[in-house]
Amino acid sequence: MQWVRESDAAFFVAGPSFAAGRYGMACAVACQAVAEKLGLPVMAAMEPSSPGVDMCKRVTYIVPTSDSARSMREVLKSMGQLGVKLLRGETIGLPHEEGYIPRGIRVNVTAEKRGARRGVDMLLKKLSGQPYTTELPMPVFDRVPPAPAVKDMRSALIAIGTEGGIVPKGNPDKIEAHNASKWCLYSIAGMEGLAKGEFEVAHGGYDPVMATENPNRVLPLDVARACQKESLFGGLFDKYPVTVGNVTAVRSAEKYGREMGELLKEQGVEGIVLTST
Amino acid sequence: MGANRVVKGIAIPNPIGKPDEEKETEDVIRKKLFELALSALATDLDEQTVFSL
Repeated sequence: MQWVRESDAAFFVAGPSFAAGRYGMACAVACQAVAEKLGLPVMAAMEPSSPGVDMCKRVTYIVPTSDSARSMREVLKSMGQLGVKLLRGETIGLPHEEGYIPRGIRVNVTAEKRGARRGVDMLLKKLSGQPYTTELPMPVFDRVPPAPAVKDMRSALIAIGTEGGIVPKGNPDKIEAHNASKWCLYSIAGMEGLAKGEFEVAHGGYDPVMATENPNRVLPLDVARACQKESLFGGLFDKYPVTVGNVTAVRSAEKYGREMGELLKEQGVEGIVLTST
Repeated sequence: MGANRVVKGIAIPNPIGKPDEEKETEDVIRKKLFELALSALATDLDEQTVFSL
């Protein structure tokens, strides 16, 4: 912030962060701070489902991108076009006209037909199966209420799992390093810990050296067993769910989470310690 | 993010690992973190709560 202030900048650009989760969040935090504390026009570029979008869209013009940096050239061009307008202080039009993610800000515009006419036209189209464009997309709220606490930990069946991509050596089910298309369940029956050399890191988004040396640093089977031996909980589920949480589509992540939860619940698991990288 | 019970981990490549420490020290910290996670599971709450050692 100080650096931006001292540089006497007229404009702040963060990213493009595409679908990156942590980078997107960092861009969002930076944009918010610069916009709110320094009052500068700010711009970013993110894949629409990036967690950074919701965080800063109200104060940031975010150019929508695909999930791959292969589109860098086109994205930079779009950012350049919008950026020049912002720098010149020109009026920025509607999102679909100018190419940015809707910021959730209401702007009054004059329409040719009055609202009642437009509403009836839309309804007639909908009833006759014709395409129509809503004027007000319904927001999707994704807040999962907390599950009730585990009642009696001493007798509870607990599981461990991870999105850090700790998989048996050879990654037998080929979980992808990026944008995983699946999650898997692997056995830890009879294991006191994850042995070096028997597990590997499938996740392509973090430095795998520490976890390759000791996979328990991401999937803590050894300390789970130690706690089990001290009767801190009833039992450890003999399998662990795993996926790779690297540029995972939000829809996929929701699906995997739901499926993992349903399976664990069916098996009598009352709580899971999930690690995240 | 979206999780309701969050235990503050150590670092991205080793959320429950501390490779810069001697193994014994590292294992003590790791076990403490896991125990904290267990206590988070047993804690009733209404909103996202971050648990730290």
